This record gives sequence, C-alpha cells and structure tokens, in this order.
Amino acid sequence: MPQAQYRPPQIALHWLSALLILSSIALGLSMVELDFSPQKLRWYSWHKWLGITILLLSTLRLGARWAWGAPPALPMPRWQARAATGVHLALYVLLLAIPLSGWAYSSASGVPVVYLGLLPLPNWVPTDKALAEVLKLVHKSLNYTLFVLLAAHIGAALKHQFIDRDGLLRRMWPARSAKES
Amino acid sequence: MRSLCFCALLLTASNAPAAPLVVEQSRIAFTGSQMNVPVEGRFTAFSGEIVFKPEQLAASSARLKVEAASIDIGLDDGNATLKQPDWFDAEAFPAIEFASRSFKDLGGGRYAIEGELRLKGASLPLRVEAAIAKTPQGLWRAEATIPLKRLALKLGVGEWADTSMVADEVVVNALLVAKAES
Repeated sequence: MPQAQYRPPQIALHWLSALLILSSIALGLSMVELDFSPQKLRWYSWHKWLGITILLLSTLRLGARWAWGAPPALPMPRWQARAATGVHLALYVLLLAIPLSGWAYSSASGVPVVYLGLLPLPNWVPTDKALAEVLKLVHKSLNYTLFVLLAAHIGAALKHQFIDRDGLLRRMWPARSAKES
Repeated sequence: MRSLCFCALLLTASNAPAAPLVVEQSRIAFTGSQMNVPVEGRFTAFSGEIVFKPEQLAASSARLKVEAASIDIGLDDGNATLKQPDWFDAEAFPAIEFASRSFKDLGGGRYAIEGELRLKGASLPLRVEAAIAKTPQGLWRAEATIPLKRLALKLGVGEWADTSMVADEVVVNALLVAKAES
C-alpha cells in the first residue's frame, strides 16, 4: 500500500521552510521601510541569511521530492489536481529564484553576501547600479507572485481541511493520524 | 583663505619645490567591515603636495587634503550617512588633512612618515609606513596601508558605535603619485 504521507524529512523541511519563508517576508517588508541605520543593516543581513537558508532547504526538498516523490493525490476534480501540481511546481521555482535574485541584487549593489557572517559567498553578477535596479524589481515581482501563490496554496489546504474535510492536510502534517496506524 | 593657502604653498616652494599630487594616478581607498561584510570605499576628491628627497629626508614633506564629502562606498544611502555628524560631519568639517613632520628611512624603499592627522576638529599624531619608489616616468609613487581604529577618530559614534555592526578596524590604502623635482 502506498504511503499516505510525505516522508518525515520532507514534512520537517516543509514546515521549517514555511517558518523561514514567512519570517523572511516579514523581515523583508519591514527592513525596506527603515531609515538607513544599524538596525536596517542588521535586518538586511538576517534577511539574506534567511534567503540563503531557504535556497539550501529548497534544493534539499527538490532532491527529496525527486527521490521519494509525493503520496498519491486524493480524489478531486481534474482542474484542482492540475492547479495543485502547477502551484507546487511554481512554488519550487520561486523558492529557488527568489533567493537567487536577492543574492544577485546584493552582488550587483556591490555588497557581497556573507552567510551567517561567516561564509563569504561569491558575487556572481558584476557590480552595476543599473543592473541592481533591474534585479531589485525582479526580486520584488517574484515575491509578489509568491504572495499570490502562497495565498492559493494555503487557501487550498484550508479548503481541503475545513470544507472538503478530506484529510489532505494529513499528508503534510507532522503527527501520524490515528486512522492510519 | 584660498590666497593664504597659495602663499603658504609658495613659501614652501621657495626652498624646496613641492610637487602637487598627480591626482588621476593617486587613490585613497579604504576597507571596513559591516557584520563581516567587507565595505570598500574611496575618497574621490583630494589634493596635496609632496617634497621627497631621499638623500635629505629632513627637507621632505607631505601634505594631503581630502574632501570628506567625496566619500564613496558605492551606495547612495551609505554615502549620505557617512557625511552625517555621527560619521565625518562633512558639513562642519569639510577637510581631512594630513601634514608630515618627519620622514625616516626604514630601508628597502620603505619610509616611516610621522605627522598630524586633522579630522573632525581633532588633531591626532599618525605614523604611516610607506613604500616610496620612482616610476619609470620619473614620478614618485608612495603606497601605504594604514590600519586605523574608527572609534578613536570619532567616526561612527552614537547608534553606529557598536563594533559588532561596523568593525572598529578600517584599513586605508593610499597610493600617492607626485612629480619628482628635477
């Protein structure tokens, strides 16, 4: 019988990522409002560290998904199943593209990313003000796309949980359900 | 003020010809660190004159005047902040000046230059070790790496004083090129 849940490492990575992504979004939206100050610089650094961590976790998650796949889909209308697949795919792409665009934006601004204040990461785009402006816009636009997809992702999960009551959320829930054991 | 400076320059020039810096070939850069992220910058406007006589060091002198407002770390917000009172206070103290008092031969083309640094209204003794050599074009080329502590210079006070945010150590890299007297 195929397993009904994602594997424990996948579940752990999903919820850890969720926490870090929401923190990073909150930090990102707050830090840009601050006047240039030590606080602002500290938040920028933390935001970059979160972003690089999310990039690493997303790579691991893609690897896990490739190795272990996903539990079989629950019965649902075809358009919903397709939408779910599309949103999941787009989320994976964004969770790589957003940190990469942020890293590139930092590089183009002439500010190298030093992960956790310990590990200097390479500048992989040239320092260039015009390029930095473009990458800032890219980073922002990708994030607004992420907000929409996250709303769809979370909204759909809640709909399955509270309207369809089909137990779909159990696939990604940390605790094993009583029914299954 | 300007004419007074000019007179002083003429006076110096009367016994030892002071060569103005070849600004296009000179560079005053620095590297600091913000949460371990290297911050590189430079001053784009400066002037000075150098009299260098390796055989007669007592007659050698160096003067340098750097415009505080010309600081550039490549970030507009950062540049604006560095000109504010917590940092260089560029409006109140537009010039950062160095004037040498003595030159000492350390051997191997290296010289110790002791002098006075005037920054933010304070005057501090500063010892600089420089490698000085003549270029094939017959210019004097002096290169110095000067480790400084920003807090001792009152740079980055107030909310910026925390050295876990901006490190105390700043390394200045100066490359000064001047015409050699014939």
